[in-house]
Amino acid sequence: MADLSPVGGRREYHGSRRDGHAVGRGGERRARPADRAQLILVGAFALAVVFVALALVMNAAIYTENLATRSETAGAADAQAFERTTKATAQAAFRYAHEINDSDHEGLERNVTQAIDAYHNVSRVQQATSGHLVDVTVGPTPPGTNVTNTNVAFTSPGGADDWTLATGVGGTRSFRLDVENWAGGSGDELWVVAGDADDWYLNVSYDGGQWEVGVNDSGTYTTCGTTTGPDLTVDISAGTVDGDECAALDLGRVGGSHTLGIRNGSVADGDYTLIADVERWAVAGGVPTEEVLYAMVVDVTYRTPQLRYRTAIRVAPGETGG
Amino acid sequence: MTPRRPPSDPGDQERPDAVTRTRGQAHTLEGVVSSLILLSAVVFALEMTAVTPLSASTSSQHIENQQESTARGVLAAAAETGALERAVLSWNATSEQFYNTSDPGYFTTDPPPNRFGTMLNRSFDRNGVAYNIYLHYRDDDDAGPDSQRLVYQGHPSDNAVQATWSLTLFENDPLYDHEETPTATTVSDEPTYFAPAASDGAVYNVVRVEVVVWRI
Repeated sequence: MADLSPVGGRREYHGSRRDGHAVGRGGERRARPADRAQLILVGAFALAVVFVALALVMNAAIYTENLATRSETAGAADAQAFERTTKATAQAAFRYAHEINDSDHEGLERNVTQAIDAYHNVSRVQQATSGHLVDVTVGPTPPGTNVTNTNVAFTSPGGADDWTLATGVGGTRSFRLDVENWAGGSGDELWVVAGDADDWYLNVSYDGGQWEVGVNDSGTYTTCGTTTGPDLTVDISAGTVDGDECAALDLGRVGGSHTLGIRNGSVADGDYTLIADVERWAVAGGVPTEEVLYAMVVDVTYRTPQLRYRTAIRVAPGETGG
Repeated sequence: MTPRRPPSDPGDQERPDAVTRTRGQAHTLEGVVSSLILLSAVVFALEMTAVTPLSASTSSQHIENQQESTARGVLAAAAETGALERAVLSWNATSEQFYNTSDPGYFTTDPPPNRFGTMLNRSFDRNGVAYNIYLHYRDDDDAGPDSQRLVYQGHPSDNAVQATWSLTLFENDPLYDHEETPTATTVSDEPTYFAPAASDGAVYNVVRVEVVVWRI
Protein backbone atom coordinates (compact mmCIF):
# COMPACT_ATOMS: atom_id res chain seq x y z
CA MET A 1 0.00 0.00 0.00
CA ALA A 2 1.37 3.37 -0.98
CA ASP A 3 2.23 5.85 1.62
CA LEU A 4 -0.04 8.81 1.18
CA SER A 5 1.50 11.02 3.76
CA PRO A 6 2.67 14.44 2.53
CA VAL A 7 6.21 14.60 1.19
CA GLY A 8 8.59 15.47 3.95
CA GLY A 9 5.83 15.05 6.49
CA ARG A 10 6.46 13.24 9.66
CA ARG A 11 4.41 10.89 11.64
CA GLU A 12 4.72 8.53 14.48
CA TYR A 13 5.60 5.01 13.51
CA HIS A 14 5.39 2.05 15.78
CA GLY A 15 6.64 -1.43 15.22
CA SER A 16 9.03 -2.83 12.61
CA ARG A 17 8.92 -2.76 8.82
CA ARG A 18 8.65 -5.73 6.52
CA ASP A 19 11.70 -4.86 4.54
CA GLY A 20 13.76 -5.21 7.63
CA HIS A 21 15.20 -1.73 7.68
CA ALA A 22 15.87 -0.63 11.12
CA VAL A 23 13.70 2.10 12.37
CA GLY A 24 14.55 4.13 15.28
CA ARG A 25 12.47 3.15 18.21
CA GLY A 26 9.76 5.66 18.75
CA GLY A 27 11.53 7.78 16.11
CA GLU A 28 10.39 9.50 12.86
CA ARG A 29 11.07 8.48 9.29
CA ARG A 30 11.08 10.35 5.98
CA ALA A 31 8.23 9.83 3.45
CA ARG A 32 8.91 7.39 0.60
CA PRO A 33 8.85 9.23 -2.74
CA ALA A 34 9.45 5.96 -4.64
CA ASP A 35 5.90 4.88 -3.90
CA ARG A 36 4.54 8.30 -4.92
CA ALA A 37 6.25 8.26 -8.30
CA GLN A 38 4.51 5.03 -9.16
CA LEU A 39 1.26 6.60 -8.20
CA ILE A 40 1.90 9.59 -10.43
CA LEU A 41 2.81 7.27 -13.28
CA VAL A 42 -0.33 5.24 -12.91
CA GLY A 43 -2.38 8.40 -12.60
CA ALA A 44 -0.81 9.80 -15.74
CA PHE A 45 -1.62 6.66 -17.66
CA ALA A 46 -5.16 6.70 -16.44
CA LEU A 47 -5.54 10.34 -17.45
CA ALA A 48 -4.05 9.64 -20.87
CA VAL A 49 -6.46 6.81 -21.43
CA VAL A 50 -9.35 9.03 -20.35
CA PHE A 51 -8.28 11.74 -22.77
CA VAL A 52 -7.92 9.28 -25.61
CA ALA A 53 -11.39 7.92 -24.86
CA LEU A 54 -12.79 11.46 -24.76
CA ALA A 55 -11.18 12.26 -28.06
CA LEU A 56 -12.67 9.14 -29.60
CA VAL A 57 -16.13 9.98 -28.30
CA MET A 58 -15.86 13.54 -29.56
CA ASN A 59 -14.64 12.43 -32.96
CA ALA A 60 -17.40 9.88 -33.27
CA ALA A 61 -19.96 12.53 -32.39
CA ILE A 62 -18.57 14.96 -34.95
CA TYR A 63 -18.39 12.27 -37.60
CA THR A 64 -21.96 11.20 -36.93
CA GLU A 65 -23.17 14.76 -37.10
CA ASN A 66 -21.23 15.27 -40.29
CA LEU A 67 -22.86 12.28 -41.90
CA ALA A 68 -26.27 13.23 -40.62
CA THR A 69 -26.14 16.81 -41.84
CA ARG A 70 -24.87 16.15 -45.33
CA SER A 71 -27.67 17.58 -47.41
CA GLU A 72 -27.72 14.68 -49.80
CA THR A 73 -25.04 12.37 -51.00
CA ALA A 74 -26.71 11.08 -54.14
CA GLY A 75 -26.80 14.46 -55.89
CA ALA A 76 -30.51 14.48 -56.65
CA ALA A 77 -30.51 18.29 -56.53
CA ASP A 78 -28.07 18.38 -59.46
CA ALA A 79 -30.31 16.01 -61.38
CA GLN A 80 -33.29 18.28 -60.78
CA ALA A 81 -31.30 21.33 -61.79
CA PHE A 82 -30.44 19.58 -65.03
CA GLU A 83 -34.07 18.67 -65.55
CA ARG A 84 -35.14 22.27 -65.07
CA THR A 85 -32.49 23.50 -67.46
CA THR A 86 -33.54 20.95 -70.04
CA LYS A 87 -37.17 21.92 -69.58
CA ALA A 88 -36.38 25.59 -70.13
CA THR A 89 -34.35 24.68 -73.20
CA ALA A 90 -37.10 22.45 -74.60
CA GLN A 91 -39.68 25.20 -74.13
CA ALA A 92 -37.41 27.73 -75.79
CA ALA A 93 -36.63 25.33 -78.66
CA PHE A 94 -40.36 24.68 -79.13
CA ARG A 95 -41.11 28.39 -79.17
CA TYR A 96 -38.15 29.10 -81.47
CA ALA A 97 -39.23 26.48 -83.98
CA HIS A 98 -42.72 27.98 -84.23
CA GLU A 99 -41.47 31.56 -84.43
CA ILE A 100 -38.69 31.03 -86.93
CA ASN A 101 -39.56 27.94 -88.86
CA ASP A 102 -42.97 28.55 -90.32
CA SER A 103 -43.29 25.23 -92.06
CA ASP A 104 -45.07 21.90 -91.78
CA HIS A 105 -45.02 19.26 -89.07
CA GLU A 106 -41.89 17.58 -90.43
CA GLY A 107 -39.97 20.86 -90.61
CA LEU A 108 -40.96 21.80 -87.07
CA GLU A 109 -40.06 18.37 -85.79
CA ARG A 110 -36.68 18.54 -87.50
CA ASN A 111 -36.08 21.96 -86.03
CA VAL A 112 -36.79 21.01 -82.41
CA THR A 113 -34.84 17.75 -82.77
CA GLN A 114 -31.79 19.61 -84.08
CA ALA A 115 -31.98 22.11 -81.23
CA ILE A 116 -32.28 19.43 -78.57
CA ASP A 117 -29.43 17.44 -80.17
CA ALA A 118 -27.19 20.50 -80.15
CA TYR A 119 -28.08 21.14 -76.51
CA HIS A 120 -27.33 17.51 -75.69
CA ASN A 121 -23.98 17.62 -77.49
CA VAL A 122 -22.74 20.56 -75.46
CA SER A 123 -24.25 19.70 -72.10
CA ARG A 124 -23.14 16.08 -72.08
CA VAL A 125 -19.50 17.19 -72.26
CA GLN A 126 -20.08 19.77 -69.54
CA GLN A 127 -21.84 17.27 -67.30
CA ALA A 128 -19.18 14.64 -67.95
CA THR A 129 -16.55 16.90 -66.40
CA SER A 130 -18.48 16.55 -63.13
CA GLY A 131 -18.86 12.81 -63.50
CA HIS A 132 -22.47 12.89 -64.67
CA LEU A 133 -23.73 11.05 -67.72
CA VAL A 134 -26.69 12.65 -69.42
CA ASP A 135 -28.85 11.70 -72.34
CA VAL A 136 -31.48 13.97 -73.87
CA THR A 137 -33.61 12.76 -76.76
CA VAL A 138 -36.76 13.99 -78.39
CA GLY A 139 -39.65 11.59 -77.99
CA PRO A 140 -43.08 11.88 -79.62
CA THR A 141 -44.02 15.19 -81.24
CA PRO A 142 -47.75 14.85 -81.98
CA PRO A 143 -48.90 17.17 -84.77
CA GLY A 144 -51.41 19.88 -84.11
CA THR A 145 -53.32 22.61 -85.91
CA ASN A 146 -53.52 26.22 -84.90
CA VAL A 147 -56.99 27.64 -85.58
CA THR A 148 -57.11 31.40 -85.31
CA ASN A 149 -60.01 33.36 -86.68
CA THR A 150 -60.30 37.01 -85.71
CA ASN A 151 -63.03 39.62 -86.11
CA VAL A 152 -65.59 37.25 -87.54
CA ALA A 153 -69.03 36.04 -86.64
CA PHE A 154 -69.10 32.77 -84.75
CA THR A 155 -70.90 31.17 -87.64
CA SER A 156 -69.23 28.70 -89.95
CA PRO A 157 -67.36 30.13 -92.98
CA GLY A 158 -70.42 29.10 -94.94
CA GLY A 159 -72.71 31.02 -92.61
CA ALA A 160 -74.27 28.11 -90.67
CA ASP A 161 -75.42 28.86 -87.12
CA ASP A 162 -74.70 25.41 -85.74
CA TRP A 163 -71.53 23.87 -87.05
CA THR A 164 -68.59 21.62 -86.22
CA LEU A 165 -65.24 23.34 -85.94
CA ALA A 166 -63.08 20.23 -85.65
CA THR A 167 -63.50 16.49 -85.33
CA GLY A 168 -61.48 13.86 -83.50
CA VAL A 169 -60.13 16.35 -80.96
CA GLY A 170 -58.30 14.73 -78.05
CA GLY A 171 -56.81 17.84 -76.52
CA THR A 172 -56.69 21.59 -76.94
CA ARG A 173 -54.39 24.29 -75.73
CA SER A 174 -54.45 28.08 -75.82
CA PHE A 175 -58.22 27.88 -76.39
CA ARG A 176 -59.61 31.39 -76.10
CA LEU A 177 -62.77 33.21 -77.14
CA ASP A 178 -63.15 36.96 -77.42
CA VAL A 179 -66.82 37.81 -77.71
CA GLU A 180 -68.08 41.25 -78.70
CA ASN A 181 -70.85 42.95 -80.69
CA TRP A 182 -73.69 40.90 -79.31
CA ALA A 183 -76.36 40.74 -82.03
CA GLY A 184 -78.83 38.43 -80.32
CA GLY A 185 -81.43 39.15 -77.70
CA SER A 186 -81.10 38.75 -73.97
CA GLY A 187 -82.53 35.26 -74.21
CA ASP A 188 -80.06 34.06 -76.85
CA GLU A 189 -77.12 31.89 -75.98
CA LEU A 190 -73.84 31.23 -77.74
CA TRP A 191 -72.61 27.69 -77.15
CA VAL A 192 -69.26 26.05 -77.59
CA VAL A 193 -69.92 22.34 -77.50
CA ALA A 194 -67.39 19.60 -76.84
CA GLY A 195 -68.73 16.22 -77.98
CA ASP A 196 -72.47 16.22 -77.45
CA ALA A 197 -74.36 19.00 -75.72
CA ASP A 198 -75.06 16.48 -72.97
CA ASP A 199 -71.31 16.09 -72.36
CA TRP A 200 -69.98 19.62 -72.13
CA TYR A 201 -70.86 23.03 -73.40
CA LEU A 202 -69.90 26.59 -72.67
CA ASN A 203 -72.76 29.04 -72.59
CA VAL A 204 -72.33 32.79 -73.16
CA SER A 205 -75.24 35.19 -72.93
CA TYR A 206 -75.62 38.95 -72.76
CA ASP A 207 -78.57 40.94 -71.53
CA GLY A 208 -77.41 44.29 -72.87
CA GLY A 209 -75.35 45.20 -69.79
CA GLN A 210 -73.99 42.02 -68.31
CA TRP A 211 -72.19 39.02 -69.72
CA GLU A 212 -72.96 35.68 -68.18
CA VAL A 213 -70.83 32.61 -68.66
CA GLY A 214 -71.82 29.13 -67.58
CA VAL A 215 -70.65 25.58 -68.15
CA ASN A 216 -72.77 22.48 -68.45
CA ASP A 217 -70.65 19.48 -67.60
CA SER A 218 -72.59 16.19 -67.99
CA GLY A 219 -75.84 17.76 -66.81
CA THR A 220 -74.35 19.86 -64.02
CA TYR A 221 -74.64 23.54 -64.82
CA THR A 222 -72.17 25.91 -63.18
CA THR A 223 -72.30 29.67 -63.57
CA CYS A 224 -68.88 31.27 -63.81
CA GLY A 225 -70.19 34.65 -62.82
CA THR A 226 -71.15 37.81 -64.58
CA THR A 227 -69.08 40.64 -65.94
CA THR A 228 -69.82 43.96 -67.52
CA GLY A 229 -68.01 45.66 -70.34
CA PRO A 230 -68.16 45.91 -74.10
CA ASP A 231 -66.55 42.54 -74.69
CA LEU A 232 -65.77 39.29 -72.95
CA THR A 233 -62.69 37.09 -72.94
CA VAL A 234 -63.11 33.46 -72.04
CA ASP A 235 -59.82 31.56 -71.77
CA ILE A 236 -60.95 27.95 -71.69
CA SER A 237 -57.44 26.46 -71.36
CA ALA A 238 -56.45 28.78 -68.53
CA GLY A 239 -59.91 28.46 -66.95
CA THR A 240 -60.60 32.20 -66.65
CA VAL A 241 -63.40 34.58 -67.61
CA ASP A 242 -62.03 38.11 -68.07
CA GLY A 243 -59.13 37.06 -65.87
CA ASP A 244 -61.27 35.65 -63.06
CA GLU A 245 -60.85 31.99 -62.36
CA CYS A 246 -63.63 29.52 -63.14
CA ALA A 247 -62.79 25.90 -62.44
CA ALA A 248 -65.75 24.57 -64.43
CA LEU A 249 -64.13 25.65 -67.69
CA ASP A 250 -61.86 22.59 -67.62
CA LEU A 251 -62.26 20.99 -71.03
CA GLY A 252 -59.82 18.22 -70.11
CA ARG A 253 -62.60 16.43 -68.25
CA VAL A 254 -64.44 15.64 -71.43
CA GLY A 255 -61.86 13.01 -72.30
CA GLY A 256 -61.54 10.83 -75.34
CA SER A 257 -61.79 11.91 -78.92
CA HIS A 258 -64.64 14.33 -79.46
CA THR A 259 -65.90 16.99 -81.81
CA LEU A 260 -65.75 20.69 -81.15
CA GLY A 261 -68.65 22.79 -82.36
CA ILE A 262 -70.39 26.12 -82.06
CA ARG A 263 -74.12 26.70 -81.83
CA ASN A 264 -76.06 29.92 -82.40
CA GLY A 265 -72.93 31.38 -83.92
CA SER A 266 -74.76 34.32 -85.41
CA VAL A 267 -75.57 36.00 -82.08
CA ALA A 268 -72.15 37.60 -81.74
CA ASP A 269 -68.81 38.06 -83.38
CA GLY A 270 -65.24 38.24 -82.14
CA ASP A 271 -62.17 35.99 -82.17
CA TYR A 272 -61.65 32.35 -81.50
CA THR A 273 -58.23 30.75 -81.30
CA LEU A 274 -57.11 27.32 -80.28
CA ILE A 275 -54.48 24.69 -80.96
CA ALA A 276 -55.97 21.22 -81.30
CA ASP A 277 -54.15 17.90 -81.55
CA VAL A 278 -55.60 17.17 -85.00
CA GLU A 279 -54.35 17.35 -88.55
CA ARG A 280 -55.41 20.21 -90.73
CA TRP A 281 -58.05 18.23 -92.59
CA ALA A 282 -60.00 17.61 -89.39
CA VAL A 283 -60.82 21.32 -89.12
CA ALA A 284 -63.81 22.75 -90.94
CA GLY A 285 -62.97 24.06 -94.39
CA GLY A 286 -62.52 27.79 -94.81
CA VAL A 287 -61.27 28.36 -91.27
CA PRO A 288 -57.70 29.73 -91.20
CA THR A 289 -55.36 27.05 -89.95
CA GLU A 290 -51.64 26.57 -89.50
CA GLU A 291 -49.64 23.40 -88.94
CA VAL A 292 -47.94 23.32 -85.55
CA LEU A 293 -46.68 20.74 -83.13
CA TYR A 294 -49.29 20.07 -80.50
CA ALA A 295 -46.72 18.96 -77.93
CA MET A 296 -43.20 17.67 -77.57
CA VAL A 297 -41.85 15.05 -75.19
CA VAL A 298 -38.18 15.11 -74.25
CA ASP A 299 -36.71 12.09 -72.49
CA VAL A 300 -33.98 12.90 -69.99
CA THR A 301 -31.60 10.43 -68.37
CA TYR A 302 -29.14 11.56 -65.74
CA ARG A 303 -26.67 9.15 -64.24
CA THR A 304 -24.06 9.38 -61.54
CA PRO A 305 -22.35 6.51 -59.71
CA GLN A 306 -25.03 6.80 -57.00
CA LEU A 307 -28.04 7.86 -58.97
CA ARG A 308 -30.02 6.99 -62.04
CA TYR A 309 -32.63 9.61 -62.81
CA ARG A 310 -35.05 9.35 -65.70
CA THR A 311 -37.87 11.66 -66.57
CA ALA A 312 -39.93 12.79 -69.52
CA ILE A 313 -40.52 16.48 -70.05
CA ARG A 314 -43.69 17.42 -71.89
CA VAL A 315 -43.88 20.77 -73.61
CA ALA A 316 -47.36 21.99 -74.59
CA PRO A 317 -47.62 25.74 -73.96
CA GLY A 318 -51.04 26.93 -72.94
CA GLU A 319 -52.41 23.52 -72.12
CA THR A 320 -54.78 23.25 -69.17
CA GLY A 321 -52.72 22.43 -66.10
CA GLY A 322 -49.53 22.76 -68.13
CA MET B 1 26.61 12.23 -14.60
CA THR B 2 27.97 10.22 -11.78
CA PRO B 3 25.62 9.92 -8.88
CA ARG B 4 26.85 11.69 -5.87
CA ARG B 5 27.22 9.03 -3.31
CA PRO B 6 27.61 9.63 0.36
CA PRO B 7 31.02 8.99 1.93
CA SER B 8 31.70 5.31 2.23
CA ASP B 9 30.97 4.88 5.82
CA PRO B 10 29.61 1.50 6.91
CA GLY B 11 27.51 3.22 9.53
CA ASP B 12 25.75 5.36 6.90
CA GLN B 13 24.24 2.40 5.08
CA GLU B 14 22.07 1.73 7.98
CA ARG B 15 20.48 5.13 7.74
CA PRO B 16 17.10 5.47 5.84
CA ASP B 17 18.28 8.78 4.34
CA ALA B 18 20.75 6.88 2.21
CA VAL B 19 17.99 4.91 0.47
CA THR B 20 16.14 8.09 -0.44
CA ARG B 21 19.24 9.77 -1.70
CA THR B 22 20.34 6.96 -4.03
CA ARG B 23 16.91 6.66 -5.66
CA GLY B 24 16.43 10.36 -6.18
CA GLN B 25 17.58 10.32 -9.78
CA ALA B 26 15.23 7.54 -10.73
CA HIS B 27 12.40 9.49 -9.15
CA THR B 28 13.33 12.57 -11.09
CA LEU B 29 13.36 10.62 -14.31
CA GLU B 30 10.02 9.06 -13.53
CA GLY B 31 8.64 12.50 -12.77
CA VAL B 32 9.91 13.84 -16.07
CA VAL B 33 8.51 10.90 -18.01
CA SER B 34 5.15 11.12 -16.32
CA SER B 35 4.98 14.85 -16.99
CA LEU B 36 5.75 14.14 -20.63
CA ILE B 37 2.93 11.64 -20.77
CA LEU B 38 0.59 14.09 -19.13
CA LEU B 39 1.64 16.85 -21.47
CA SER B 40 1.25 14.73 -24.57
CA ALA B 41 -2.18 13.63 -23.36
CA VAL B 42 -3.19 17.26 -22.88
CA VAL B 43 -1.83 18.16 -26.32
CA PHE B 44 -3.72 15.27 -27.86
CA ALA B 45 -6.88 16.29 -26.09
CA LEU B 46 -6.48 19.87 -27.27
CA GLU B 47 -6.08 18.66 -30.84
CA MET B 48 -9.68 17.57 -30.95
CA THR B 49 -10.91 21.05 -30.04
CA ALA B 50 -8.75 22.69 -32.69
CA VAL B 51 -11.64 22.50 -35.17
CA THR B 52 -12.37 26.16 -35.71
CA PRO B 53 -15.11 27.49 -37.95
CA LEU B 54 -12.49 28.24 -40.58
CA SER B 55 -10.78 24.87 -40.67
CA ALA B 56 -11.87 22.64 -43.53
CA SER B 57 -13.26 20.00 -41.30
CA THR B 58 -16.36 18.14 -40.42
CA SER B 59 -17.78 20.76 -38.07
CA SER B 60 -18.14 23.35 -40.85
CA GLN B 61 -20.36 21.02 -42.82
CA HIS B 62 -23.50 22.87 -41.70
CA ILE B 63 -22.27 26.14 -43.07
CA GLU B 64 -21.07 24.56 -46.28
CA ASN B 65 -24.48 22.97 -46.78
CA GLN B 66 -26.11 26.30 -46.18
CA GLN B 67 -23.87 28.14 -48.62
CA GLU B 68 -24.28 25.51 -51.29
CA SER B 69 -28.06 25.70 -50.98
CA THR B 70 -27.95 29.48 -51.08
CA ALA B 71 -25.79 29.45 -54.21
CA ARG B 72 -28.09 26.95 -55.87
CA GLY B 73 -31.14 28.98 -54.88
CA VAL B 74 -29.69 32.22 -56.19
CA LEU B 75 -28.90 30.55 -59.52
CA ALA B 76 -32.33 28.96 -59.79
CA ALA B 77 -34.12 32.19 -58.94
CA ALA B 78 -31.97 34.24 -61.31
CA ALA B 79 -32.54 31.72 -64.10
CA GLU B 80 -36.30 31.76 -63.46
CA THR B 81 -36.60 35.53 -63.68
CA GLY B 82 -34.22 35.80 -66.63
CA ALA B 83 -31.73 37.85 -64.60
CA LEU B 84 -29.02 35.26 -65.14
CA GLU B 85 -29.44 35.33 -68.89
CA ARG B 86 -29.39 39.13 -68.96
CA ALA B 87 -26.20 39.16 -66.89
CA VAL B 88 -24.48 36.64 -69.15
CA LEU B 89 -25.59 38.48 -72.30
CA SER B 90 -24.66 41.96 -71.00
CA TRP B 91 -21.80 42.24 -73.48
CA ASN B 92 -20.05 45.42 -74.52
CA ALA B 93 -18.96 44.91 -78.11
CA THR B 94 -16.71 47.96 -78.10
CA SER B 95 -14.51 46.94 -75.20
CA GLU B 96 -15.13 43.24 -75.88
CA GLN B 97 -15.97 42.52 -72.27
CA PHE B 98 -18.96 42.61 -69.94
CA TYR B 99 -20.53 45.98 -69.31
CA ASN B 100 -19.28 47.94 -66.28
CA THR B 101 -16.23 45.78 -65.82
CA SER B 102 -12.76 47.17 -65.27
CA ASP B 103 -9.57 46.16 -67.01
CA PRO B 104 -9.39 42.40 -66.53
CA GLY B 105 -12.82 42.03 -68.13
CA TYR B 106 -14.57 40.61 -65.08
CA PHE B 107 -15.84 41.85 -61.75
CA THR B 108 -13.40 41.61 -58.87
CA THR B 109 -14.64 43.43 -55.78
CA ASP B 110 -18.23 44.42 -56.43
CA PRO B 111 -21.01 42.32 -57.89
CA PRO B 112 -22.25 43.12 -61.41
CA PRO B 113 -24.51 46.21 -61.33
CA ASN B 114 -27.59 44.36 -62.50
CA ARG B 115 -30.41 42.27 -61.07
CA PHE B 116 -28.26 39.15 -60.79
CA GLY B 117 -25.60 41.21 -59.02
CA THR B 118 -28.19 42.50 -56.57
CA MET B 119 -29.16 38.95 -55.74
CA LEU B 120 -25.51 38.01 -55.24
CA ASN B 121 -24.97 41.07 -53.09
CA ARG B 122 -27.92 40.24 -50.83
CA SER B 123 -26.98 36.59 -50.51
CA PHE B 124 -23.20 36.72 -50.20
CA ASP B 125 -21.53 40.13 -50.14
CA ARG B 126 -23.53 41.40 -47.19
CA ASN B 127 -22.70 38.29 -45.19
CA GLY B 128 -18.98 38.49 -45.80
CA VAL B 129 -18.95 35.57 -48.14
CA ALA B 130 -16.68 35.59 -51.17
CA TYR B 131 -17.56 34.02 -54.50
CA ASN B 132 -16.25 33.42 -57.97
CA ILE B 133 -18.48 32.96 -60.99
CA TYR B 134 -17.17 31.10 -63.99
CA LEU B 135 -18.99 30.67 -67.29
CA HIS B 136 -18.14 27.39 -68.97
CA TYR B 137 -19.03 27.03 -72.60
CA ARG B 138 -18.11 24.99 -75.61
CA ASP B 139 -15.32 26.58 -77.56
CA ASP B 140 -16.45 25.48 -81.00
CA ASP B 141 -17.49 22.34 -82.78
CA ASP B 142 -14.26 20.44 -82.24
CA ALA B 143 -12.65 21.90 -79.17
CA GLY B 144 -13.61 20.98 -75.66
CA PRO B 145 -15.00 23.19 -72.90
CA ASP B 146 -13.55 26.59 -72.15
CA SER B 147 -14.40 29.09 -69.47
CA GLN B 148 -14.71 32.80 -68.84
CA ARG B 149 -14.71 34.60 -65.50
CA LEU B 150 -17.69 36.77 -64.68
CA VAL B 151 -16.73 37.49 -61.06
CA TYR B 152 -13.35 36.65 -59.55
CA GLN B 153 -12.68 37.55 -55.93
CA GLY B 154 -9.62 35.43 -55.36
CA HIS B 155 -8.48 31.89 -54.83
CA PRO B 156 -11.13 29.87 -52.98
CA SER B 157 -10.27 28.39 -49.61
CA ASP B 158 -10.30 24.68 -48.80
CA ASN B 159 -13.89 24.76 -47.58
CA ALA B 160 -15.36 26.37 -50.68
CA VAL B 161 -18.53 24.92 -52.17
CA GLN B 162 -19.91 25.21 -55.67
CA ALA B 163 -23.23 25.15 -57.45
CA THR B 164 -23.88 25.14 -61.17
CA TRP B 165 -26.72 26.04 -63.48
CA SER B 166 -26.83 25.64 -67.25
CA LEU B 167 -28.19 28.29 -69.54
CA THR B 168 -29.02 27.59 -73.17
CA LEU B 169 -28.45 30.51 -75.50
CA PHE B 170 -30.39 30.57 -78.76
CA GLU B 171 -29.04 32.20 -81.85
CA ASN B 172 -31.74 34.88 -81.82
CA ASP B 173 -31.25 35.86 -78.17
CA PRO B 174 -30.50 39.58 -77.98
CA LEU B 175 -27.49 41.04 -76.22
CA TYR B 176 -28.30 43.44 -73.38
CA ASP B 177 -26.89 46.86 -72.67
CA HIS B 178 -25.65 48.15 -69.32
CA GLU B 179 -29.21 48.91 -68.24
CA GLU B 180 -30.42 45.39 -68.97
CA THR B 181 -32.35 46.54 -72.02
CA PRO B 182 -32.23 44.23 -75.02
CA THR B 183 -30.31 45.61 -77.99
CA ALA B 184 -30.94 44.98 -81.67
CA THR B 185 -27.84 42.78 -81.87
CA THR B 186 -28.36 39.08 -81.43
CA VAL B 187 -25.74 36.91 -79.83
CA SER B 188 -24.99 35.15 -83.12
CA ASP B 189 -24.38 38.50 -84.83
CA GLU B 190 -21.74 39.58 -82.34
CA PRO B 191 -18.32 38.11 -83.22
CA THR B 192 -16.64 39.50 -80.11
CA TYR B 193 -18.91 37.62 -77.71
CA PHE B 194 -16.84 35.35 -75.48
CA ALA B 195 -18.62 32.13 -76.49
CA PRO B 196 -18.61 31.13 -80.15
CA ALA B 197 -21.46 29.28 -81.83
CA ALA B 198 -21.42 25.64 -80.82
CA SER B 199 -23.80 24.59 -83.58
CA ASP B 200 -25.18 26.08 -86.75
CA GLY B 201 -28.77 25.50 -85.68
CA ALA B 202 -31.08 27.16 -83.20
CA VAL B 203 -28.95 26.48 -80.12
CA TYR B 204 -26.05 28.94 -80.05
CA ASN B 205 -24.21 27.56 -77.03
CA VAL B 206 -24.85 26.23 -73.56
CA VAL B 207 -23.27 28.28 -70.79
CA ARG B 208 -22.75 26.46 -67.53
CA VAL B 209 -22.68 29.04 -64.77
CA GLU B 210 -20.58 27.89 -61.84
CA VAL B 211 -20.65 29.74 -58.53
CA VAL B 212 -17.89 28.95 -56.03
CA VAL B 213 -18.61 30.25 -52.54
CA TRP B 214 -16.42 30.41 -49.46
CA ARG B 215 -16.10 32.33 -46.23
CA ILE B 216 -13.42 34.99 -46.10
